[in-house]
Amino acid sequence: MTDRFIDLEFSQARWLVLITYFLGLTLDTMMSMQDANLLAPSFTLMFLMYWSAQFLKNTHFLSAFLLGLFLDALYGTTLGAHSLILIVITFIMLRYRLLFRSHSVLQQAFVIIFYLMAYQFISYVMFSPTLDSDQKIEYWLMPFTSLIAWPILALSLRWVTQRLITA
Amino acid sequence: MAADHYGKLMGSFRSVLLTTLNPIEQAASLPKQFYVLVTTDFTSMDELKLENQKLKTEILLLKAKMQQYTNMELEISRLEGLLGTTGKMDGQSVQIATVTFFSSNPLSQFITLNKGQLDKVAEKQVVIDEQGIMGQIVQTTLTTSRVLLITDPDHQIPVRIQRTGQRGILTGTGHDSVTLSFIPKNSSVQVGDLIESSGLGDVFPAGYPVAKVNQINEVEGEPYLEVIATPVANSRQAHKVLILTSEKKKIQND
Repeated sequence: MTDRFIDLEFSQARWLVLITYFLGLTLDTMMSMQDANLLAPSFTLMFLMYWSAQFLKNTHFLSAFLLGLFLDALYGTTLGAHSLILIVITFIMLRYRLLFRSHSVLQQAFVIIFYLMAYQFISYVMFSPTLDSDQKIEYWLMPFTSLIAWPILALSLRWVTQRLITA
Repeated sequence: MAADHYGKLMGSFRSVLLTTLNPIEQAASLPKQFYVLVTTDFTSMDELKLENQKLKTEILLLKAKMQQYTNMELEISRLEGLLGTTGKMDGQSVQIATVTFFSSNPLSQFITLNKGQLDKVAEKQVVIDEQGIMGQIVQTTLTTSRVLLITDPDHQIPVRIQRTGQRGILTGTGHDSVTLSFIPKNSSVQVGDLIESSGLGDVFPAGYPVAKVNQINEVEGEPYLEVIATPVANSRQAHKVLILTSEKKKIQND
C-alpha cells in the first residue's frame, strides 16, 4: 500500500503538531524581520493545511483561530482578522481534503498555490499593505514559491510521522 | 475584531499574546545573532563588548542632552521674538532600553524593547535614539514593549519646521520615509529643513528632531504641498534607545 495515506490519530502526534506550529510561527516571524522577504510563503498556513488534510476526525478550526490570533499579535493587525482568514481557508480545505490527499505531492503543491493566493487576496483586501512596485510583484508571486516549499514540507512531515507510528 | 478595532478593549489579551510570542521572536532572532557572533573576532570579546556597551550608553545620554540644549536655544530665541509668550519645554527623564526585535513588513513597522510594565513603561511613551524621535510605545507586556515607528502608515505626529515654525502633521508611508501634510503652497519650506516635534497633542514632547525634508512636490489643484521627508532616527541600526517620561506624567503615576 502506498505510504501517501497515514492512518493517524491527533492524540498520537499532538506534540509534533504543536512543534510544527511553533516552527511555522518562528519562520513567519523571521520573514517579517528587517527587509521582510515577501516571497517566502506563510509557513503557519502551510503547516495548518498539511495537518487539516492528515487528521480527518478534526476540524482544526480552533487551531486556525489560535494561530490567527498569534499572527495578529505578530503583525500588529486587528485581533481576529488573521483568525478569520485562516478559518475561511481551512474551511475550503476541509471540503476538499479527501481529494487533496489523493493527489501526489507535486499536484498538492499546485493546489496549495490556490490556498496561498486566497490568503494573499483576502489579506490585501483587509489590510491594504503598503507595497511599492517591486514589492507588489513579490507579494503576488509568493503563492508560487509553495511549488518548492510544499514538497519539502510535506515529504519531511510524512517521513517524521511514519517514524512516529513505527516507534 | 470589533472590540479590538473600535474599543481597544483587548489590550490585556494582546499583552498575553505578545508575552507568548516573546520566545518565538527570540528564536527567530537566533540565526542572525549567531551569524553576527561567528563573523565577529573572538579576541577579548567580553572586554570589548563591555567597553562598547558603556561608551554607547554614555554617548546616547550625551547626545540626547545635546538635542535638548540645541532645541532649547532655538525655542528661547523664538520665545523672545514672541515677547514673553509661554511655551516652555517639559522636563523629561529617560530610561535606556535595548532593541530585541525589529519588524519591517508591509503590514506594520515596529521594534520590540526589553523594558515593560515591570520597568514602569506605559503606552504612549516616546522613544528616541541619539538622532531623534523613533516612535511611541503602543503595547506593553510585563517585560517587553512594542514601539510603533514613525514610518508606519498608521502613525502620525504633530510637527513643525524648525527654521520657520510652520506646523504640520507627519505621517508614515511604510517605506522608511514620511510625508508632511498641511503645508500650504505659499510656505517657504526647503529641501534639507529639519522637522521637529511641535508638542501639540501632549504625546510627543516639543523640540525633538523627527525628519529632514528631502523632496517637495507641487500638485496642481491641491492647496497643500506634497512634502516627503526622511526620518533622522536610525531605526534599522539602533541597538540602544531612550524611553522618555515627562516629569509631569511621572509625578502623576507616582
